[in-house]
Amino acid sequence: MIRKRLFIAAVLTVATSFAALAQRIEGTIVDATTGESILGATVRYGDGKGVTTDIDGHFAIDVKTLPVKLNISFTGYRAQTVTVYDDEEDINVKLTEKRSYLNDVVVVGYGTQSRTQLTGSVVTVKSDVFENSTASTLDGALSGQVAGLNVTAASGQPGAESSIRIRGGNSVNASNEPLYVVDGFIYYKDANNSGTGIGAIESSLNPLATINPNDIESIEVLKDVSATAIYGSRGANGVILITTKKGKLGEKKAQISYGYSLGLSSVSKHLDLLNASEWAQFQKTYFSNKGGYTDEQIKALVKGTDWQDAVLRTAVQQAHELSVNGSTDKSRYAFSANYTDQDGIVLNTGFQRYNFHTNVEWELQKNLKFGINATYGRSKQQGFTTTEEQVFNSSPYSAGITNSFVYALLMPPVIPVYNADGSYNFTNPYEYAYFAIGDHASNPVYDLKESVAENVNNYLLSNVWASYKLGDFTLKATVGLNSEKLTQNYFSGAYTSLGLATQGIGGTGNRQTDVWQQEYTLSYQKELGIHQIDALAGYTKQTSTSTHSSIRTNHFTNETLKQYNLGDGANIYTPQTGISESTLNSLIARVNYTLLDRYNATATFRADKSSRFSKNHRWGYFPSLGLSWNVDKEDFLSSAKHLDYLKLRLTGGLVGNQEIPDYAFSTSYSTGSYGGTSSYAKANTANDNLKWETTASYNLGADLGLWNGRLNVVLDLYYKKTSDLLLEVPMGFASGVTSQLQNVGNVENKGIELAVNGTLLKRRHLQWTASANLAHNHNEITDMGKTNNVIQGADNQQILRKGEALGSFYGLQYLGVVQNGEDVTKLPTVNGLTPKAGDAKFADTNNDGKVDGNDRVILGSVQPKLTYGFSSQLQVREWDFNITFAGSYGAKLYNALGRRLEQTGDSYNVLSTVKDAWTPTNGSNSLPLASTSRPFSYIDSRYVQSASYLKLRNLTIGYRPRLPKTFPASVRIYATATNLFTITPYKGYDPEVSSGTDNGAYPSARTFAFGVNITL
Amino acid sequence: MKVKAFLIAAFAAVVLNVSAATSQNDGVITVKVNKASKVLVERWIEGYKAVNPSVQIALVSGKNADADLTLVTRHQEGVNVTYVGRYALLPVTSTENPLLSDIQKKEWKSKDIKSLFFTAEDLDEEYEEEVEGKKSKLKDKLTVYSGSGKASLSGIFASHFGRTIDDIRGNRIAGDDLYLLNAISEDKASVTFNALSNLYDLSSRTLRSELALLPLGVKASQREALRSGNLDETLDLIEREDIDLIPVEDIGFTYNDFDADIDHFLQWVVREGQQYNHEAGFLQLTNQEVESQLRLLAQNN
Repeated sequence: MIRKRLFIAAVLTVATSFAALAQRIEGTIVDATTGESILGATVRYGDGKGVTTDIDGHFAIDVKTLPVKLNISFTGYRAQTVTVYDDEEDINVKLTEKRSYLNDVVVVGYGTQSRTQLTGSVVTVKSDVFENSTASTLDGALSGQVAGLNVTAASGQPGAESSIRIRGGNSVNASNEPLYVVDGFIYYKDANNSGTGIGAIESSLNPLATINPNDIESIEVLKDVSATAIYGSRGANGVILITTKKGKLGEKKAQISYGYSLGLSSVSKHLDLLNASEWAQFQKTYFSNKGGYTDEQIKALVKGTDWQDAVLRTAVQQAHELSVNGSTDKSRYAFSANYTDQDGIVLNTGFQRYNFHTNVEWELQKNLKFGINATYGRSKQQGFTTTEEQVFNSSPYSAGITNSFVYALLMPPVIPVYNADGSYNFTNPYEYAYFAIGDHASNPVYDLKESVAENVNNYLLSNVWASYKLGDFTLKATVGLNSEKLTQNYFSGAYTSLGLATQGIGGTGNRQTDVWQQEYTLSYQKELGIHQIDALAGYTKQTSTSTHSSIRTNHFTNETLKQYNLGDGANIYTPQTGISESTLNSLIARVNYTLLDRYNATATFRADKSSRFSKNHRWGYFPSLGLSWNVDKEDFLSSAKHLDYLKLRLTGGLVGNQEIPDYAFSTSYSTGSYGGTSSYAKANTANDNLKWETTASYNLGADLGLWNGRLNVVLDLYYKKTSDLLLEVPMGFASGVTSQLQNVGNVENKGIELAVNGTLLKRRHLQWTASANLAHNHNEITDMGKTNNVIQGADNQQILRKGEALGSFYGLQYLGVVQNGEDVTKLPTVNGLTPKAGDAKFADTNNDGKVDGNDRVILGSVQPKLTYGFSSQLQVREWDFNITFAGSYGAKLYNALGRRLEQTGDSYNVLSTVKDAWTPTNGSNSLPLASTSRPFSYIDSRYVQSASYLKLRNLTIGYRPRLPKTFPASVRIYATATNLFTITPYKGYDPEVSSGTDNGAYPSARTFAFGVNITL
Repeated sequence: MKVKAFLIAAFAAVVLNVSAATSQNDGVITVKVNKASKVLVERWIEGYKAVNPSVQIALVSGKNADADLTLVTRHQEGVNVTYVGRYALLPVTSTENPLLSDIQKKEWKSKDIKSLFFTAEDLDEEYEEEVEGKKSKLKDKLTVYSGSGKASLSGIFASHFGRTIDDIRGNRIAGDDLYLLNAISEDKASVTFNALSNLYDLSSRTLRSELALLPLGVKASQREALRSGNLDETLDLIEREDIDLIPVEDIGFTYNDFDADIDHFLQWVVREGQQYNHEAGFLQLTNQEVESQLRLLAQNN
């Protein structure tokens, strides 16, 4: 008891004595949601005294007496009052962000910026979009999410690339793909150095396959020139900034997450082909009835072999994800590993990927930070071999038989896949044109199963950086290497379609691409009363080296090891090797200035020196200016209490495009062999005037927010003019080449974009949001120089013409079928002959009394008039629902596959639509009388079909079970459906074919997947 | 003379504290406690030493103090812990609150408490409060005080009502939760919550005269006990009946090094020490809990 009294007395004494002395109070201010330290928060106490928190969110004050009241505030956060009664614990204050769109910090080129200060058009896509998608690459999840960003899959092939267009295409021969920047570092993929030179493989690996969508924290899409000009020569097609997940500062406990998903895919649409009875009857009626079927036998054939079903399958896909994120006092880290295995819905096709990603950052000294970002992985894609290079016995490719999948659709349904003994059937008496030698014919099921067409990419994307803060200045240096090794393997045995003529053909090719980049920047940030300045200057250098080699042989005697025993091939093609090098040196500068938190200006300048242009034209200069006005901050709107923000933006500037092959400005020769010795052929003739393709771009935009984030609207109007178009211009014989890259002509894009997102219900346990976007773009070639009317495509189906859009289709206008009793004398002649009943009718557009190539007209273009997307998310306590639609209206697609499958003959199967072809008793206008010949090789309007569509891209239902507090993990289980339905008038498999010509592209799949995510 | 005595006492206290803080397993068990639990732990030490006079147990405090046993006021994961008692939290205001009559007119049900102490469930309502400045309801006129430190029981109160500490409205204090009562005595139109050991005078066993409990919307029989203002009746009620509106949480001792001295002390507290819990304003462990804690201690040996 005495001791207790002594203790109390002592405490009282010490307290009394210390009261007269200064007392230190220390604490930390962090974001309540992210746990990240808040730099620059103000802590006021006493009579207006105040301190601000340092980079760790830490503050320390000395007070004479306790208690003391601290008022803590930071822009964009709710202020908080804390009364300090004792100093036994450090004070840890969590500030809650005021929910407002304008508090967003947006990632921009070489930095970040508050959305209030932004002048450019920048759209952010958050990670939940990727979490709800089972797409193995990020482009698959981006579709329909951003106004003006149009994603078109090349095909349904797993791992295949997509075409991404931001505000339409600017260029004809240079790349139209946007630039990708991952964690501030350019992910440069040279579109001109993508293959190994081996050919024969139809699909190419998606360059975005190197990025695991689940590693993505957010994506910023930079659309207008104010945002993209800092990337100068590579900003013309827009920029996509990818920010990967990082450990959160202050979150000391490592967050460990594991995810697994398992899905089943099947073809989303079947083509309706003739069955065996129908086909045999068709043969008997119109052709020679090679099978000699009687009517009874024809009836008995019924379905026969469904070759379409025979090459399609229900495919399994699965993915494992493991990630570890966390931080210590002086560092933060993130690590992830991903394995994706996706079987394709066509036999022996698929995509696999291993991917490891790490992102670590250390604070080495008070103002010195150091970080490493690295991704290592391997992706493998198995696809189709292509007949593109087959030239024997005329070309199956130009006849529309582009690959073994298409060949399967063409197979007569009376031919079985297997013989009675289970072996493959190689007998097909109907095949005599392309894939038969003697009694031996190809079997597409065998083709697909036994052929090899694979792309294997081993990649390392890495960079290290260090930054040093010196007062208001920050110095940053980044050095990185993106190294990729692509191997392409190809083998078609002697019994396959492609190996038939050569007794087996195989090859292998490698391409090693190393892109070194260095970036050195100095930035300055200062707030001087009503002025805020943020400036950046820097130098960057990119050096790319790409080497490739390939070898092919044929005439195999032993196919066991396929492409791994090319030495068995008796005939050796000339080996191909090559190297390509380029450098890009750049100076960058940007100043952001904000006055009174209302008026913002961004001035950007980039100077690029590219080795891809001739000596006198290597430097390109790309300036831009952006202005924005936060109108809501003006006094005259202060009473508008439901107005969160209203901003007007105006930007203008120049960006460029240098995505052309290396050395296109100089004369070059290609090697080959001729008569057993090596030979050289002129490949390119020098163009000393080759220079930058430049795009002048202007944007007028408005951002509006109402009712505390309930409704956000973004409206943009833009105009882009691309000048000095990099165009392959046809050359005369004297030049020694067929074409040359020249700066000819202009292309214009103008459009309007609207994005609206709203919160329909906003209760703590019930939230419902919806967002929609709509974009219209008008694309037009406004100048072609002296080279108007450049016809392109294997079927001469497209044309470059002044006044028309890029990707315009060019062909005859189909008018129907000549009917019995029709006055044929009034019809234009076809090939000098008067049409007769049952013949196709075409428009004589030049009214010269005959139909020929001069009557071809523009039949539409690949450019959609409208693209749109709609998505909605509903969260009800533990349940979450997500639905995403994407659509396109007004684009056209050349259905080359449909044209092939409606071409009647005595060898191949056809679409069931031919049952409605004209006959003397069926006055149809859809198809003419069945015949083996066409009057013209030109395409006609029947096969340039509407590619408008509305797709239900994604439907996801998730559930987070409430688990006991003692359970160490949180769990989410989900079910998701992808491509659940497509509404489209397009008659092929899928209206999304990025090339604009559907040659029998890999069909798209409908996928149902289930998954679980566990977070410790 | 007084000054001299104080200085000697202060010196002695500092020396005792320092030596306690630095001694580890040298025959003295050091125990780190917070203010609210100090009385209870002192009772346990006295009781234990009465039957084990040779044992040395010293209390330590302060943010940097290290100890053999640290008293914790919530369930712990991943550490060695023995639970030794329970406490309950009640919402309270000052008797000088100008809105006291309005407060006492109401029967505070779960939704009322949530509405008063936490940011709005309906985010639209929150928006109206923030942007349109609607302050018509009683809750809008009352300031909520809560703790911000790791030792504060505010997190327990919040999680009982399905929310987090960040969701609590109003102002924060730094320091022991006892100071929340200071805060509401200074800012009269305010409310807070606190443990029974702080709310009741442990000598007179009645609610502290300057405090008034918020009348909870409970059964009539339960209301009677709470209204009595008697600590023992209140403790009996909460031990006897599970009342949804009253957060109850365990207290325990965590330890890194386990030895026979610590084992004996903890066993004694779990078995015999419970008799002191009421005296200090804490609830006893249930019989089931006593058994489970003893079983866990036995597993340590």
